[in-house]
Amino acid sequence: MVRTFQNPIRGSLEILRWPKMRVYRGLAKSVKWYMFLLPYMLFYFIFLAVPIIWSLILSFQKGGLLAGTTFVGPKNYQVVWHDKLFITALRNTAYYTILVVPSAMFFSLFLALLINQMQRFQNFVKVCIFLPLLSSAVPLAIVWKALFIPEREGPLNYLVGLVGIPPQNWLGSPMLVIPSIVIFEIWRGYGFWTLVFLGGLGTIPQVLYEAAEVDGASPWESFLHITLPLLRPTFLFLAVMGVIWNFQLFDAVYMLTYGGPGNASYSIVWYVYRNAFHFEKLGYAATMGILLLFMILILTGLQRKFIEIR
Amino acid sequence: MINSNQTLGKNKTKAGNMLFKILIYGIPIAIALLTIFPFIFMTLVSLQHTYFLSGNPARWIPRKPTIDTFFHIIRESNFLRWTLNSLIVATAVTLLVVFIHSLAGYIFAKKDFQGRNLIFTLILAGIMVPRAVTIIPAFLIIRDLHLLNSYPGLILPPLALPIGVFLMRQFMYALPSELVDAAKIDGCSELGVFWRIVLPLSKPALAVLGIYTFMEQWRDFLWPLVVVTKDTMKTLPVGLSIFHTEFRTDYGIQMAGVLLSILPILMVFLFFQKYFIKGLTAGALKG
Repeated sequence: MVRTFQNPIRGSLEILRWPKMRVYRGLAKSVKWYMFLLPYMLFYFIFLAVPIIWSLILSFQKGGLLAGTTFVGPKNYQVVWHDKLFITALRNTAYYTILVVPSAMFFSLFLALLINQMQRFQNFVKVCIFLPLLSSAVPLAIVWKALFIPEREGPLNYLVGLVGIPPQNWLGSPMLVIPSIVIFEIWRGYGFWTLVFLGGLGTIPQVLYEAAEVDGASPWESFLHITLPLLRPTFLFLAVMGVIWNFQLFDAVYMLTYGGPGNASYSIVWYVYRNAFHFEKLGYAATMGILLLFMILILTGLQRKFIEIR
Repeated sequence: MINSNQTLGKNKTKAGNMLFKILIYGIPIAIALLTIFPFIFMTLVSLQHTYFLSGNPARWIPRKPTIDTFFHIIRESNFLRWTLNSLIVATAVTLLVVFIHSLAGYIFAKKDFQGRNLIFTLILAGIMVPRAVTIIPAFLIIRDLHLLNSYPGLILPPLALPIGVFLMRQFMYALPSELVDAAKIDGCSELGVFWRIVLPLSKPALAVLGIYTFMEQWRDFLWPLVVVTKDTMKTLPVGLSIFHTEFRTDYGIQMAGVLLSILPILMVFLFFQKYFIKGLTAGALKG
């Protein structure tokens, strides 16, 4: 390397370097902590950060697991909106989420408020509603597939027959299949929602209710002005996570309907799975995955804004 | 609302109070019984070979109870192997998460360094990323590492999920920093402080995180479904998902399989109820 001349301005440049030196020293200190973060960050990069970027790249490619992929540009993003199956999957997923999230929210809030009032049997109820949470969707779906048997003799049909409703083809009719999945998923998950609400109710100081009673507030008024506002973080959590989870509906579709009858219960994740692992359309599947990510981000942002403003 | 039954008691008649109590107790208990109804159904049906399923609950009561259905599963499928696989995977993920995530959580909670908030935000954002996005490249990575149909293939990818880091950071943030400083003055190394001071103080949070992680892994279906094709490497949910079509004609055997898959975790749950309920709702309460 050629040595340069001693520059007279160099001394003054040295001063300019000072803050930079401090940055380096700060970094040197930080490096120590980065070392401790390394085990987790390694997994984070390999199995979360890299896959997201890889999916983004894949979404501009076509091809599959066996043939390999080639670059096609933004074609996937143009095609996907004309794909009737994708639109069906999108509509089903939205319909399903709109049915599940609000009803699970109201039902479990109502139940949590009642359980909160109980002085006895509280534990019994908690244990009962917790039971479905112990198991993966697969064995539970096997049970419900038996309960959903469409013949007059099916257990659920027998049950609704007691109140005079004719036997239904629960999983076999395009009209009823999504509501049937909703019933299964609410049964499977409302216990969690209720327990979260109970946890939220437990964080509200008892003193507030006593003060409200002294001031002559009715129970309804204290519910409206104490319980509901203080439960806002719980609502926000359940609304946001409820949408994130339910937009990823897969297990129930795989086990109960396999997308059928026809395409009546296709969900987005189900269609992604089919494209990636059955149809040899890896790039196309990645495109829909990326779209799903954006939809979830937008919905989460909207919910945050909506609940925080109110 | 908490005090409403006392309030109502003052204002209304005794009968009204009584009715209120019946509603308060009656509705939750009715819902609880309705919720466990499918479990009662499966238990009754599992106790006999059932080729024709009746809707009438009275007919579910087995006339000649047998546990032959249970033995049939164990004989005719790899059921015990699937259970073992599920246990191995869930336990390994839990142990690794408890150590690796709490170390990261500790650094984020107690250490100040450049880029900390940015990195932590990026990690948190990972909670919102749907599985559908990561599963395809994760599959390709595991395939290229020749880890399909292997325990590492099942165990390593779930370690990236950020919820544990978040939980542990929230908990350790509340630990007194003086303890950490005191230990350092006494000549403890950074890792020593973490191992001897921070981890023992975090036992309740570790229990919660452990149960949460174990349950999530025990119930996971999509990832094992994708990464395993060999029957002897399947986890319980994946094994059961094909098993039930194999024994399609006999509801007794199907229900026996379901019951058998729930029984081990049910036993543990009945002993440690409180920890389970805390563990599963932990993410919500800390958030």
